[in-house]
Amino acid sequence: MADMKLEGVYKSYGDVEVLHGVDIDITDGEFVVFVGPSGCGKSTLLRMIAGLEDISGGDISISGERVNDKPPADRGIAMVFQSYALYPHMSVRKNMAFGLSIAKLGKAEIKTRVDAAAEKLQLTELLHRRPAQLSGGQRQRVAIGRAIVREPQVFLFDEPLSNLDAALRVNTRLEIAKLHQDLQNTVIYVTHDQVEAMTLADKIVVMNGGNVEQIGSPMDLYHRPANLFVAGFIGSPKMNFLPGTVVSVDGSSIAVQVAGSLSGTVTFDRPGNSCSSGDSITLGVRPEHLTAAGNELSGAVEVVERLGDVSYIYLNLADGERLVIAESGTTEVAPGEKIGCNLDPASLHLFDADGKVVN
Amino acid sequence: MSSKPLVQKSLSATLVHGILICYSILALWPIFLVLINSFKSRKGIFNDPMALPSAETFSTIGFDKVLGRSNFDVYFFNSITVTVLTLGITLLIGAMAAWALAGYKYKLNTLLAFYLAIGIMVPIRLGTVSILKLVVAMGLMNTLTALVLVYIAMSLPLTIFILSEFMQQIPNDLKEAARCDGVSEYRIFFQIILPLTRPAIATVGVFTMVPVWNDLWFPLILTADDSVRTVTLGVQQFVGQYVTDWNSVLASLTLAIVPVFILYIIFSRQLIRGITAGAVK
Repeated sequence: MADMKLEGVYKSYGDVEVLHGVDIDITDGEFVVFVGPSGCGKSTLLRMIAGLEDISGGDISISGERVNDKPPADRGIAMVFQSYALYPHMSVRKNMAFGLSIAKLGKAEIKTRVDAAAEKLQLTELLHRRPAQLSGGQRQRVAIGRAIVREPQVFLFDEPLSNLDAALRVNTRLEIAKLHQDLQNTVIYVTHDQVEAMTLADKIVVMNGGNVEQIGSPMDLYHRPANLFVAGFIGSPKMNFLPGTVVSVDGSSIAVQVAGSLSGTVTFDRPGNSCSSGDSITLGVRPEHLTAAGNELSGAVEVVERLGDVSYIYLNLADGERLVIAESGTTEVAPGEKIGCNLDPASLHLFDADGKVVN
Repeated sequence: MSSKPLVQKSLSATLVHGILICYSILALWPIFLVLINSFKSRKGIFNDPMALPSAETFSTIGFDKVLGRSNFDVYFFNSITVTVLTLGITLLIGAMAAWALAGYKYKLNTLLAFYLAIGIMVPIRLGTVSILKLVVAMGLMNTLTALVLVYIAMSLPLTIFILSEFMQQIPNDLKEAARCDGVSEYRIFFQIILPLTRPAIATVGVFTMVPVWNDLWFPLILTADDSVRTVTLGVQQFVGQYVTDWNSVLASLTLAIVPVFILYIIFSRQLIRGITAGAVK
C-alpha cells in the first residue's frame, strides 16, 4: 500500500520560508494534483517528496514509513521531469534500463520490464534511438517509460506537459489518465494548468504562496471553493467577482447590496454566521451561471468571443466592473450593445473581507 | 534563402577561405621547413634552405645520428611518459574538481573557484625557485615524478575553469533523474557527466598536451640527468655555443612531432564525435 502522509512540512532557504507547514493525506492509488501559480511552492514540495530537496521541518512518510532522511532511490518513487531529463548519450532502451542495472536486476528481468513498458507506450520501434532523434512527445513517453520500469510505489510528475504543443498536450494527458487507470499507482502530479488538474485528479491540492489553500475533488473545488483564491483559480474563464455590502443578517439569510445593481438587494438563504451588516463582501459568480437576460446588472458589451459551442460576452458594467457571461451556442449579441443579466442566489458564492467563503 | 545575392555570398566565402588559407600557410611554413631540411645534407641546408631535398642534397644523416648515436629513445620515452601521465591525471582530477564546483552547492564554492582561478593568472614559472627548492627537499630531483607534478599543477587551473563552465550547461534535472534512478554520485560523474563533457575534455586535453610536450624550462631545471631528459631537452645537446648540428636538431624535431600528432588525432576525433552527437537533432 502506497499511501502517503505529509505532516507540517516546512521549507526555508536561509531566512526565507517558502512552504509554511503543509499537511496532506494521500491514499493508495490516488491521483493527486498540486496546482497553483508559479512560485507557489508546488514543485519544491514535489522535490521534497522525491528527496531532491531537504526537508526543513515536518515529516513525510510513504506507506507508513518516515522517509525524511532516505535518498530518492530508496523511497519507492519515480519522477518524470518537465525537461524529461533523458540521458542524451544513451539509447532509449539504455535510458529505461539504466536505473534497473544500477539496482542490480538480472538482464532477463530488465529486458522483460523494458519491453513491456515500451509496448505499453508504443516505443518498441524507437528503443535503439537516442533522445536527440525523438520528438517532444516521444521523449515524454520515454521519460514516463523510465519511471514505469522501476515499478515505483508513487509516480511523481513535475509539469510533464508544459513543453508540449497544445494538441500533443491533450493526447498525452489522456495517455497519463489511461496509464493511471491501468497501473492503479499513487500519482502526484504538479502543474500550473487548472485544466490538467481538473481532468486528471482524484484530489486537487490548490497551493498559493507556500500555503495549501484547499484540498478536495475537482467538483468539490469547482462548486464549493473555500476562498477567493481557489474560486478565481479553478474554472475557465475565471469566476466573476463583484463587490457588495451586507445589508442585514438574521441567522437564516443574508441580504447583500451588490454594487451597480439596479434591483436593490439580493437575499441568500444561508446563515452567514461570520458577517454582520455593513461588512463589505465579495460576490462570486461563474460565467456559465449567468445568462444575457434580465436587468439586475446592465452594461455595454465590449467583446464577444464565439467558440461555436459556447460564446463569451465581456460586459462593462455601469460602475466600471467587468463581467464575463458564458452563453451556450452562438450568441446574437454584438459589441456596443447594452444588455443586462440577473443574479441567481443559488449559484452565487460569497466571500468575506478576508477572502473566506461565507456560508 | 538568404537575402544576400549569390555573388556577394560566394565572394565573402572566398575571402574567408583566402584568409584561412593564408593563415594556414603561415602557421605550417616553419614545420614544412623543418621537415624538408631534416632530409637534407648540411651543405644542402645552408646552400638553399627553402629548396626541397633533391637527389644531390638528400641525406638522412640527421636521423642516423639522432637514432644511432644518442639516447633519443630514452628521451622519447620520458617525454611520452610525462605527457601521458600529466594528461591523464590532470583531466581526471580537473574534471572531478570542475564537477564539484559546477554540480554542487556548498558554502566555500565561490571562494574555491576564485582560488583556483588565481592559478590561471599567475604564471607558474614565477615560482621556479620555490619549486626547485621544494623538489630538492622532497628528493625528487632528476625524476620524472617532479616534472609530472609540476605540469599537473600548471595545467589544472585552466582545465578546471573550462570544464566547470561547460559542466554548468548540463541541466540539473539530469543529475536529479539519475539520483532518482539510484545512481551513486561517482557513477553520475563517470557515466553521465563525463560522457557528456567529452568534447570539452578533448579540447582541454589538446590545450594541456602541447605546452607540456614542448616545455624546455622545467626539464632544464629539474631533470638535467641524461636518463630523465625529455625530447626538447635532448635536442639541446645538438645546439652548441659555437657549432649547431642542424641535421640532428631538425631530425629530432621532426621525430618529436610524431607522438604529439598521434595524440592530437585521437583527441580531435573525440572532439568531432562530441560535436556531431549534439548536432543531430
